[in-house]
Amino acid sequence: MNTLYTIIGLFALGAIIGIYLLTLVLQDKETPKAAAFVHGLFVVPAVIMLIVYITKNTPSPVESLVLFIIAALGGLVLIYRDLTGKKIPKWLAVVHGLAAVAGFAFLLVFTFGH
Amino acid sequence: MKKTVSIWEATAQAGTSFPTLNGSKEADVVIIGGGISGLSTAMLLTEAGKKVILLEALQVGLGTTGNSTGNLYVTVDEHLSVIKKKWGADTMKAVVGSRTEALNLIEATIRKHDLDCNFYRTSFNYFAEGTDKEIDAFIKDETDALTECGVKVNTGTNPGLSFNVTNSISVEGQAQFHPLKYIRSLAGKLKDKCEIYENSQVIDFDEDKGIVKTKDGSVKAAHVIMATHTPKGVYMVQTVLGPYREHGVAAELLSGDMPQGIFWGMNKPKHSVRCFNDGDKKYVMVIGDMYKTGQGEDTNEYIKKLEEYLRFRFSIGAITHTWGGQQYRPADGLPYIGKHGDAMYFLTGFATDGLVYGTLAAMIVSDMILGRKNKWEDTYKLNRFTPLKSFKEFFKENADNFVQYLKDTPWNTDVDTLKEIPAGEGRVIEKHGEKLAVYKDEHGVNHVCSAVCTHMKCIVNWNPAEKTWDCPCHGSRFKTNGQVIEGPAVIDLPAKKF
Repeated sequence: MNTLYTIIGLFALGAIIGIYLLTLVLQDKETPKAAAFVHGLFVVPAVIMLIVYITKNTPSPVESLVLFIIAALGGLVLIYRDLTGKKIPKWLAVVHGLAAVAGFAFLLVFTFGH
Repeated sequence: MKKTVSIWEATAQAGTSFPTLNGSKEADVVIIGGGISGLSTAMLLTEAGKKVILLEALQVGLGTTGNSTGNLYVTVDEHLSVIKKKWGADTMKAVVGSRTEALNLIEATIRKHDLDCNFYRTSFNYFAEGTDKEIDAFIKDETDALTECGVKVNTGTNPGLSFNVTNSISVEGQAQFHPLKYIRSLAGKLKDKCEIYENSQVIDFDEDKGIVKTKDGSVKAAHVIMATHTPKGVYMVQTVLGPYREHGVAAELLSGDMPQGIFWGMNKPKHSVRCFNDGDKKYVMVIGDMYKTGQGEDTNEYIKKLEEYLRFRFSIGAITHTWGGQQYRPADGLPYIGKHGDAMYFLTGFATDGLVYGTLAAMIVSDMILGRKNKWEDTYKLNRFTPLKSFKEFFKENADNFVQYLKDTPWNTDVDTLKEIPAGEGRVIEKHGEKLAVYKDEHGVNHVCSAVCTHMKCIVNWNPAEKTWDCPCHGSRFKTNGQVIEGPAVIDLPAKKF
């Protein structure tokens, strides 16, 4: 269970920065790249830890992982488009955030609902 | 004192003025960039009967070429002994052989078109001051490398410098010229054979269709040549290039002498010294002490140090000219020249050897377009994969870029208020979560644009010596109004209101 708490903690930290980044994107403002990279530095280890947890435990929050992977793919597209000077689609930023929030909610339910 | 005007710009007569591109055009080849690479390519292709259009964002020759040393030599900044260790003797010999052909082409062009550009053959010299085992070992290795390439070398004696030299290498048969006179007179000769446009900054291009767009026009061509020092836009090749900057300082020689020749001081930091006669005035100049573009702490300090370097060695008057020049250092030591995709050609990674390498790149690329096999094209091919030779520099440059991104944190700015910006200076400031590059002119008027580089979104830094905004990641540089000067950025920094 300690692993899940760590994963939740990392996702929560990532989410705080993610909300900040999303507010900038929705206002058509440039995002501070340190914030974008630190956001990734929190959530990437969390996703890896979640994958490891799921491979070793039953039952496991598979739905949560699927949603986080969708969010991660969206995040990769967002950072690629941002760094290469292409316009960031606001809808993609919102979907990226919503997928992550949904994954986080499934994870909380799984962790604290058992 | 003239600030940030190279001695070449100050001593060259105004060249032919070229119009701005207007409307849609078609050509066999469109060349982006009016420096030595672009104009040499234009010359070779027009001679072969191709219809060529050349687009220069500013004025012909006033980019890197007009801020260079005017030195033409067959050795390289990376040093031949280092090339041999990395690539082997055959590649080292190919470097010297190819550069010899390029240097000969420059001389042949000058003779053929009777270009007035102060060209003369002279010696290339490495020199050391004081005793340094590392430099002595280098001089031995470099002497061996040059000799292996068939270059006649003299070592040990002072090559005519008026200050104390402890060790040296001299190579005869190299050359010097006035780079801006060369470019301007070459452009003048080409004006009836190809279309040249100035103040025609490329703002967009379609790689697949071969369409290049400027603010007021466009060109469609089968071949697009990026003779822009580093390709415009975002490309993988930029991960193996390091953008660096050096300043130059010139002053009149009051007494004593400075012989003709190319002189590279091997004590660290490296300096390149030469003289230049303009009428009855004899100038001595030094260029060196390079730093990564956008990362110089105070660029005025580099100029002060260069002045001290000259004053310590020569009897000079006031500093008459100061300027800066950019270079892109290749990770594996060799330039990247060749075809990218279906229609584009890149010519980049020349380090400080761009006058000769730029001409060589023109020879290679024009041969490729004309369907002729160039014997040097494999040595410098663009799409080579050399992880063992590149890794150290690749890692260093890209880790450094990542560090620059990590400095872009919220609220991390140079100043908090406009009042803190001195007149004539620029600072990065934040307003409503946006980083802004603010230049306060001498009259106290603020000129505001985004501080986010339009190439890959690093935060630009102020360059006080040249009054420009320089990107610390890939070397894009912008005027105080945000206009692109050089580097991979295509789009100007957007104007903002404070």
